[in-house]
Amino acid sequence: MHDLLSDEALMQQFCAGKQQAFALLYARHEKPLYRYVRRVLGQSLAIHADDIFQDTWMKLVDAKSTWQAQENASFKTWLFTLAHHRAVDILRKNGREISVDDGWLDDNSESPWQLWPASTAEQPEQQAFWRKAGQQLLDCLEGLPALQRAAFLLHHEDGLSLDEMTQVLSAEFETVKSRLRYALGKLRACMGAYLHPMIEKDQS
Amino acid sequence: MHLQDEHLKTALQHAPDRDVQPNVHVRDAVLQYAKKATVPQPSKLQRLQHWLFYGKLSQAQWAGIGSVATVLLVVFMAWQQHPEEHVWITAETSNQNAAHTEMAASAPAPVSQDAEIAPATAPLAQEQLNDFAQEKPIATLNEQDKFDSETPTKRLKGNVIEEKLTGKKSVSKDAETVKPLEKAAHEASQTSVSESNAASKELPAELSAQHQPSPVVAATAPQVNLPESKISLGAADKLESRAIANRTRETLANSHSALVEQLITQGGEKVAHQDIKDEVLRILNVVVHQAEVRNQDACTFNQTPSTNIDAATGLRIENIDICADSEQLQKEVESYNKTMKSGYLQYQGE
Repeated sequence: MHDLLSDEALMQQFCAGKQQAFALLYARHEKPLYRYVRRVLGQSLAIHADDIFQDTWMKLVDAKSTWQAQENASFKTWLFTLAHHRAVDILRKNGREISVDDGWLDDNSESPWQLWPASTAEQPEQQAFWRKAGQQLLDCLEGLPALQRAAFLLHHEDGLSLDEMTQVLSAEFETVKSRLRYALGKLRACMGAYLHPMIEKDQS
Repeated sequence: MHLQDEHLKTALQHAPDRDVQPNVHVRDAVLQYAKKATVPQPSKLQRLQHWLFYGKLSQAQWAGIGSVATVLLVVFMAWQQHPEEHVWITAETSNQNAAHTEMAASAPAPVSQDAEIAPATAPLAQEQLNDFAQEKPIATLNEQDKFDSETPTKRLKGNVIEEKLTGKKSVSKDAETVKPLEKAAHEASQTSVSESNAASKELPAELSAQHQPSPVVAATAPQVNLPESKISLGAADKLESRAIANRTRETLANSHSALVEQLITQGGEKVAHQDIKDEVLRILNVVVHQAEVRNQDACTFNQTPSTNIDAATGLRIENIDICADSEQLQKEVESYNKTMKSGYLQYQGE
C-alpha cells in the first residue's frame, strides 16, 4: 500500500508520526541520492559522501515539523537540493572548481556512438560493453566542473526536469540549460574516443 | 541539440558504482534518528513524574543533596538553641541606634569611676541604650516578681552574677549602668552645662530613681564614659552585646532577688537546708547602703566584694547588698547562717 503513495504523501505521514513512512522514503531514495552525492563529489572527495548523505536525511527529519508539500517542488527535488548544497560546501572547502562553464564544445556535435543501440544492452557482451562505458563515463565526469557534472547527473541519472534542476542548483533556467549542454558536449567527446573502436567493430 | 543523451544515460546506468550504498552504520543512524523524532516527547510534568518515581540519582547528586540537608539541619538546630542571638538589625533599629548615639554623644560625659572598664564597655552600653529605649527598665522586667511590692529588698545584686558570667564581669556591670547612662543623656540635654558637670558623678543614680518604683532597688552605677569613637558598633558586636544583655537581665531576676525572696517567703532555715542539699555552701552577709541613699525612691552603691572567708567554718561569705535595712531579712539571714554552720559542722563530723 505504501508503495502506491507518493513521496509527498509519505512525508506527510512521517510528519504525522509514522516512522514506517520514513523508512519507505529512505528506501526509495537511498541509492539514487547516495550515488548522486558520490558522483558529484568525485573520487577524491568520495570519503565525505557518507557524512553528506547522513546530514541530508537528518536535516529532513529535523524539518519534519515545518515541512509542507508544495505544488512547484517535489519531495525529491527538495531532498536533492539539501544534498547538493551540502556537497557544494564540501567542494568549496576543498578547493574544487565548481563553476567553470567553458564553451569549447560545438553545440551541434552529435554523439559519436549514436548508432550503437543503447536499448539492446541485454546480452552479456553488451552488458560488459556498457559497464566499461559506464566506468569511462565516470572517469569523464571527473574532468567536468562540479556544477556541470551535477546538471548532467540530475538530468540523466535522477530524471529531474530543467525546472526542477533550477531549484536544486539554485540557478536560472538558461544557466542550467547551458551547464547541461556543456556537460553533454564534453562527455560525448570524452566518451567518443573510448567508444569509437567498439562501434566500428560492431558495425563491421 | 538534445539535452538528453540515451547512450550516456545507458552508460551511467551500467556504471560500476550503480550499486553503491551508504555505510550500514549511516543507514542505522538515520533510521534511528527518525524513529526518535517520531516518538512523542513527554511533557515537563511527565518528565518530572518519571524522574521522581523512576529516576536514579548519581552519587554526586546524592552527596550534594545530603550536604545541603546537613547544613540546613545544623542551621536550624543553632537557631533553636540560641534564638536570641540571631537578631537581625533592621533599618528601623539602625535609625534608633543613630538617634541614641547622637543623644549620648551630645550629653556631657559623666565622671568615670572605673576608667579601665569604660573603653571596653562602651559598645555594650550603646547597645543597651537601644534595648532600654524600647523595653522596660531592669527593675520591672520580671513581671512575675510578686515580691517587688511586698518587700523593700527588691532586686539585690551580688556575687552570683559575676560567678555565672565568669570572665564577663565588666559586661555585667555595664549592662546595669546602661539605664542610668541613658537617662543621664536625656537629662543632660535639658539641664545647664554647669549643673550637669557639678552633679555628673551623681546624676545617673538620681535619674534612674525616677524610673524605679521600689525604694530599695539596687542599682550599682559605676559611671562610664562613652567616647564618641566607641559608640558605633559592628553588627557582630551588636548581636553579642544584645545576647549578653539578655542573659544579664535573666541573671538579675534569678540571683539575689530570688534568694532574698526565698529567704523571706520560705525562711532562712529551709533555704539553708536546700543549699546544703545542693552543695551550695556559703555564709550570707547583709550589707546596708543607707549612707548612699540619695532619695526615698532609690539608692546606689558600689558592689561589696565577697572575698571574705568565715573564720569559724571556712565558708565563703557572700554579701547581699540592700539599700534599706529589713529586720525580717536580717532575721532570716541569721537563721540561714545558723543552719548552714550547724549543717556544715555536722557534715564535718561525719
